[in-house]
Amino acid sequence: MTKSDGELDEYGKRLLVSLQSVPPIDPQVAAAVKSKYLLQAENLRKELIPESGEVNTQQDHHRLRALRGKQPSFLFRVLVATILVVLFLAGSSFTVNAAQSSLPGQPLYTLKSWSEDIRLSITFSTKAKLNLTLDYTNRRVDEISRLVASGKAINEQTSERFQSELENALQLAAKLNDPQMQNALGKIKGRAESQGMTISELITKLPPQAEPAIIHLQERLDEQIMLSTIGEKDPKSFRAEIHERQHTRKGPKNMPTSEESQAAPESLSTTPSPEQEDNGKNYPTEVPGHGGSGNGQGQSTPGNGNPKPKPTDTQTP
Amino acid sequence: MRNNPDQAILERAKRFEAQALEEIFDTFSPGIYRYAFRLLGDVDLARECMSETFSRFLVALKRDSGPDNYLQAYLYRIAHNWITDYYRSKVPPSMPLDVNLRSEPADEPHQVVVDKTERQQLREALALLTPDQRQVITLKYLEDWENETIAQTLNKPVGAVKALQHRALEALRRIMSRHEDINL
Repeated sequence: MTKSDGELDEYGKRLLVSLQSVPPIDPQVAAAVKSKYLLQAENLRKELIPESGEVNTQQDHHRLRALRGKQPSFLFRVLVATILVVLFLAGSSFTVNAAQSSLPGQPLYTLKSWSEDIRLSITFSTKAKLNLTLDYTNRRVDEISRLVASGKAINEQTSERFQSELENALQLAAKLNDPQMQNALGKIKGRAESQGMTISELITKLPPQAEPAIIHLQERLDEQIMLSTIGEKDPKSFRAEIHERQHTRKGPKNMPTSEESQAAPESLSTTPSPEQEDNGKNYPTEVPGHGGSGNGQGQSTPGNGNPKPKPTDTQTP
Repeated sequence: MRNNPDQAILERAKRFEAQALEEIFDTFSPGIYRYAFRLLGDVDLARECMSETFSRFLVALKRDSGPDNYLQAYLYRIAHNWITDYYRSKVPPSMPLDVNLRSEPADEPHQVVVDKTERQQLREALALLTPDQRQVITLKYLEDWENETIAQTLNKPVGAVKALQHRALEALRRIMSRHEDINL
């Protein structure tokens, strides 16, 4: 470096020193941004699966075509039989893969539900089950987003499955020891916050008559955040509450949810249930920037929901 | 300073491996946030820039148009583009006074206001530079990057980077001296 370079650098540093200090980012905000990013990554990853399946099937067709026209022999027949078995298995696997992007109401959706249930049932560790369940909740939010985007109603099946998965996540967390449980609850809370943001954005896109169903889900997510927060601070009360909820769930099927909240331990009785909030007021979530410039699930293309910069040719490097 | 090739983690990121993507976020998001805040002077905008940077990175991976190397340089380029778009779309708004009053409670109120005004003037001066000039001097003097790494980020030779630094500082000196004249 020459002397003039050194002087230049000194001047530059002196000039810009006042911009050095940066307030630390709020950990909750950072966690929300991270959750949104991971959720988008998960959605994009799922979109990649069927595409790679199609490529494999095309390659298989080419190989089969190449085999045609040759003299049949015992070896050839064995080969064909083997290929057919492989194709059958690959086809089944492809069908299951293809089902992963199906939506409620579509023929393959039942297969998707089954494959999820089977995968969960063959997962033995509580932590792995919990991670899988949280991934499934992301899938439900994704399905709801896609249903809304295509102008379809959110059916009861999806809503119930989503709520059941949220509940299962809490039940699984309650089975862990205290430090693990608190860690898991942090994760559950992060997911619920991120999903809540997505749902909030969806509400703004829905016609008024369609809102109650989705508002109910948003309230359930608020409840999830609140229960997780309580569990992080007071594991004992959390376990008591979860035990009570589990007990209530096993009771009569049509028991109103308000009874569940009445059965909550005294320490948690301030936790509003969706039914208790029937006056239309949503109790606040802890999500900073809630309803702000988030871009929605898997739809974070530049400019979407971002009123400030106008993305132009400089979107990506 | 991270300027080594990031091929291994990028290979995993291209397969959308959650662990690799999380590692990338954890490693680079604090720097991107700092960079955005220094240029934008607003926590909400800095957060939005950070969020959008990583979102665009994912979209690029999906389209198979993401980086094969120099991940940090790539991410800063996205953030820089976002900030450039922001500057193009509107003049940076004045920060509310209470932002700085809150962050430096021990200082004298008058000094706080003076410091805040200086910072704001400096950001406005930065906004008047060309995007390349702005990025070069921010990366050099605020992020402490080497010229070689800045050159990789901008896809320019090191000599061009030095020339940009020189011209940017000259321009800043001129703009800031005008501010001083007005303040006097």
